[in-house]
Amino acid sequence: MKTVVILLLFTSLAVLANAQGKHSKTMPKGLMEELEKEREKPTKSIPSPFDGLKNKSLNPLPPMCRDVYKSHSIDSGNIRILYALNATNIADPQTYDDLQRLEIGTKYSKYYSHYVFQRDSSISSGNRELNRKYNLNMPMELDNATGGVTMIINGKFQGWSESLFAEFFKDFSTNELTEYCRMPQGCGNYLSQYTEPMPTQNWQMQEETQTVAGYMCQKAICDFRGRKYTAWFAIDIPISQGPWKFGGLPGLIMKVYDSKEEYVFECVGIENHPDKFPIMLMDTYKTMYSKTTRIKLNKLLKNIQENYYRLAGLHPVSNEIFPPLNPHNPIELD
Amino acid sequence: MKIHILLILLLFTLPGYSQSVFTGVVKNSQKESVPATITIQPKGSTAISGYVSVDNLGQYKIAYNGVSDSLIITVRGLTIEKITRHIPNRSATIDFIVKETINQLAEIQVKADPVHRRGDTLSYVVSAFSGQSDRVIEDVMKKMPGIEISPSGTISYNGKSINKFYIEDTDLLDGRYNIATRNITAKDVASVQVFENHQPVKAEKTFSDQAAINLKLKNSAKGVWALSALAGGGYEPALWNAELTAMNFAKNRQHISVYKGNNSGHTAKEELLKKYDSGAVEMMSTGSMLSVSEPGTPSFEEKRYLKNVSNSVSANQLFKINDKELKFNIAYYNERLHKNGYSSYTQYLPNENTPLVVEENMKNVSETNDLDVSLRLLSNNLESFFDNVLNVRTVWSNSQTEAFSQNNRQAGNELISQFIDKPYFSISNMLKVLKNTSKQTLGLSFAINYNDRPHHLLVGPVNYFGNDSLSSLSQEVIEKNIGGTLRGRLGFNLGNFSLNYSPRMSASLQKLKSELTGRDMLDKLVPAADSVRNDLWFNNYQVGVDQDYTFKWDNRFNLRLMIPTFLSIIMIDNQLGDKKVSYKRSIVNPTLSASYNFSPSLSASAQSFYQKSYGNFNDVYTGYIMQSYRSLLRNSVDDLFESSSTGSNFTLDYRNAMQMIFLNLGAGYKKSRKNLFYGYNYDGIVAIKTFIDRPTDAESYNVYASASKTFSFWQTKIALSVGFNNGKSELLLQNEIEKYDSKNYSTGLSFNTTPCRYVNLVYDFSWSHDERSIENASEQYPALRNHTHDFKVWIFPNESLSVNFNVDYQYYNEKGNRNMAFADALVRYKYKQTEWELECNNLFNAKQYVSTTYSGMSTYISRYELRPLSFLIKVRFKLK
Repeated sequence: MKTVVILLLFTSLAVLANAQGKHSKTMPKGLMEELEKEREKPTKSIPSPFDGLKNKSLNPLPPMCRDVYKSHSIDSGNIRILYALNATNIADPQTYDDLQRLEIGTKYSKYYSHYVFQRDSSISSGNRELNRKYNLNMPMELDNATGGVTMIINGKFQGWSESLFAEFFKDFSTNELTEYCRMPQGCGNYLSQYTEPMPTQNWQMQEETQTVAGYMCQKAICDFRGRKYTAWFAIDIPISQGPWKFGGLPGLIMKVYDSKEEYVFECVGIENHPDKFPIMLMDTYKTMYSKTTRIKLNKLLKNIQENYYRLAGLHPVSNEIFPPLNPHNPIELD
Repeated sequence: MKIHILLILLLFTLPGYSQSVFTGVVKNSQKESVPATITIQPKGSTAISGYVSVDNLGQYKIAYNGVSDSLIITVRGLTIEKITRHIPNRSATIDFIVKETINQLAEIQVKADPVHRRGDTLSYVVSAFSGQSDRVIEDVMKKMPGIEISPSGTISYNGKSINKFYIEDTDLLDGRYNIATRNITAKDVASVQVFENHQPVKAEKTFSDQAAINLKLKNSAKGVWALSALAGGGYEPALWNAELTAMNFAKNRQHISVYKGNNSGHTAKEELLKKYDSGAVEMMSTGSMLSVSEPGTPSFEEKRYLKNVSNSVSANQLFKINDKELKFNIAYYNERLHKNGYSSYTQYLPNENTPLVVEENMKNVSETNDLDVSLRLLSNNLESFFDNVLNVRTVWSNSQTEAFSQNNRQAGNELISQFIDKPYFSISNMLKVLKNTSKQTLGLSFAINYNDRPHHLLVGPVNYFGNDSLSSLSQEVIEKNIGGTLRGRLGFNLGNFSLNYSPRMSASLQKLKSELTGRDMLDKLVPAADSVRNDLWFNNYQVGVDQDYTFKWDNRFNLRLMIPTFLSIIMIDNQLGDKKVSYKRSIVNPTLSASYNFSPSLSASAQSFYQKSYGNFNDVYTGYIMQSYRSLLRNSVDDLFESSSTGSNFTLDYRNAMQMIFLNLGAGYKKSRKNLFYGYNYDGIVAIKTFIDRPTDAESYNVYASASKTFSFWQTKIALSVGFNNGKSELLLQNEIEKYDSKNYSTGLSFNTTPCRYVNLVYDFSWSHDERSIENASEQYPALRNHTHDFKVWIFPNESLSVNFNVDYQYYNEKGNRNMAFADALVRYKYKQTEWELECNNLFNAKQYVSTTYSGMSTYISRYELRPLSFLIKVRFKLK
């Protein structure tokens, strides 16, 4: 516990010191107070993600927040689908591992974590407001200065995982899929992207039906990259898409899960936007995410998950030891 | 032959394996291709058996392998209208011309349940329970299943009162939580959380069966100042009402200040009462040994009867510095009350045909000032606990009654004035430190306190004491107490077991000095004889070890055995007779409690105890003290008073948050014994305390059940309760021992529903039945029955206008005023940032309240003068 606290302190202090060193000369009066105030406004008041985890294993620390305004629109859409990842109570968003969004445009679809986006944008808008107010140009690149409170993600999953910190773009014109994967704190050098031919699942129709979120759904099953999946799709929503890399059914996938139920996606919202929303791509994806392949990325992620402390350059203080890391259990097993 | 069979088989099976292939094009009316999906399914089936997407040229090809004769082929797309065709199971070319349209998907949104559970935490979403009539958070909490709020504001969760009240996980108010529940607006609260089995000291490993409440505020209400004010005026008599509140809940500091003042029937002190013990030092109460006669307080809403001028101020400030909390609480009130009424006291006496009846017509005026200041430093985490609280309280109050008294013992009526002066002062400090290592808990606490209560009662004229006539009697009682407790703590945590030993030492020194003097008709001082004087020290020294053993298994089973063991040395130094007595007693008071969770929603618990205590300040003084104008008390025994009791209770708790059902039932039994039997002798109208040197036993048991259920349908909450009490004891009256038996049955129902957004209905019902009997008595006591009904209707013609009617009805099966009904109305109108309220109270202009209560062999009837029909207009506005 102490180690974690020290660790958190260390990282936030280091980052703060860094920020101060750069900006202390130009920092107008009152700004520090404003910054303090910003930090006093947590979106959630869970004291620390590591509370009560004395003997439990941890996930790698989530990366620092990024500036969501440094992005540009590549398409627009008017349908947004919300999926809960691993909900224990579908009616309570706090019990989801993540709330994820599928945005469908005409040329692209985008699948990403809403909780991570919320976490990033709360800080970004705060910083932007400060910049505007004080006419500053504080850089808000990746791994920018933020306080410990930004570690907190709205759901029950805390820490870093590929499931939360990757964005998936399907390009309908080239029939390809690109994943942009953010890395945990301290592993900013490993930011990665890869493009692969549009993944397809060889779905087998089943006779069974049930309703999910009010829509009548039919069952379909498939084997995909090492896991056996069951999907429930809504024939009345003629969108051949689903969460993550899923799709190819004649209706929207409302619920899909693997046989071990380690990854359960369930639709919890459908939004119509008559005034289209933009589909945004981070500016840094082009410049900072090195190209790799899916297989290589999976190996890298395994390495990061298992040797995180070493790769992130974190060293335990005196003779204390870090809590063990959770085992690597990716959604794609091969 | 074989070939024939094969052929036949082939002929029959072939169609089953035949494949029909359908091809075609899908185009819009302009002959352009559109994105679409073709699905195929057998007729009568809800499941599709095949699907294919239309290619860029609008062409498709789909095969069907099944056996169904007729099929349904459908074309769907996000931008087209769905087309369905029934076709035979034969390969064919089917073209579609589709009509383009914009399909709006039916939006879905999974709503949060009104109540959800996470481990031991239950969260109630405020918006799911609140309605237009609810202004402050208490109004909404009343509708939450499992949470009950008594008329005085005490919160209990499934039958047990809460042990902590937090705002954003911080205890700002130290038990005065009505300041929060009655001033924080419901709109600012996101959810109300219940922490079940809450142990407020995080470093403490012992089990708690009480719950705590936490208010989670909306982000918009955090870190900002909320200032609001209320002003009001009305008639009859001239009425006024004022309020000023300021709050700020930031991450590192919290603040609430409230001023309230009125003369319209709302007591100031209720909001300032501590609703749970915040770990302060045990002290003398602010009450008094002495009293003046007052009409009995009616058991309903005080705004009906309270004739008051009240002002109260409280300021509460908390700072968080790292993990420490520094808290400053100040509460002050001033209240002047007028009570007018009549009481009739009937005391049945053994061997006397006519009971003693005393009737009084009273006018009482009282004034109270109460200032309570405390400063607290707290650090509460898993490893260690530090708590220091310094408290100073001072009260100055007096009360004066003019009673027109008549009785059936001495002829004639008399106007007796009674005046009491009751100042009070206390100062205390408590320090508590706990430290956890992996296997051990170490702790130390030290508490010290000083109290002072110099009270004075003046009564006159006095013609009812023997043959002497006095113009006045003056009783002075001075009590002082200084005490200290030092307590260590050594705890071991061995897996499922935790063992705690607390050696302790305490000393409590109490001084009592009293004197009853009189003045005769010529205003000459009648000095006090020794029989009406006291001057003594009552000192109690205790040394011992409290043992506390807890066994926890799998979060399911909890067993706790507490054995305080100590030696008590009581030294009584009567300075009048220069008599010193001391007693040494060893005391072992074990309590065994167990609880078992059958499931997260069902749990049972049981407790048994044995308790012994010795002596008390009130049992040792030997000179008479005039407690009220017609009662004289003293102790005339040299033995040490000793009481012991043993009992058991059992509760069963069911709480299903998802279904919003809460149920609890319980039963209890208690037996107690006192070594000396105290009673009263009546000499005329004066009661004199007597005793006989013989033990007396009392026995009681009770059973109760309560349940509440909330339906999403019409936002309805129904709560039910039933109870039964039985007590058996002995009474000593006129030196006769009477066996006394009392039974009480009660039931209650409350119902709150919102059939549509325009109406909210509330109905409360209670019924009680009291019986008492005395063995071998000639007198038969009638049973007392009472039921009350309270209807409330809220009507909301639009979002800014709310209208309320309220009718109260009470029934007693007593002679005279059996039926009583009261009605009030209220109109509330929201206009921009202001809220206007017109209150009309007591529409029927009921003049008095009559109630009957039983106690032992006496009956007490009281009539209380009520507030007349009145109007009050108030405006509430936000300053910021």
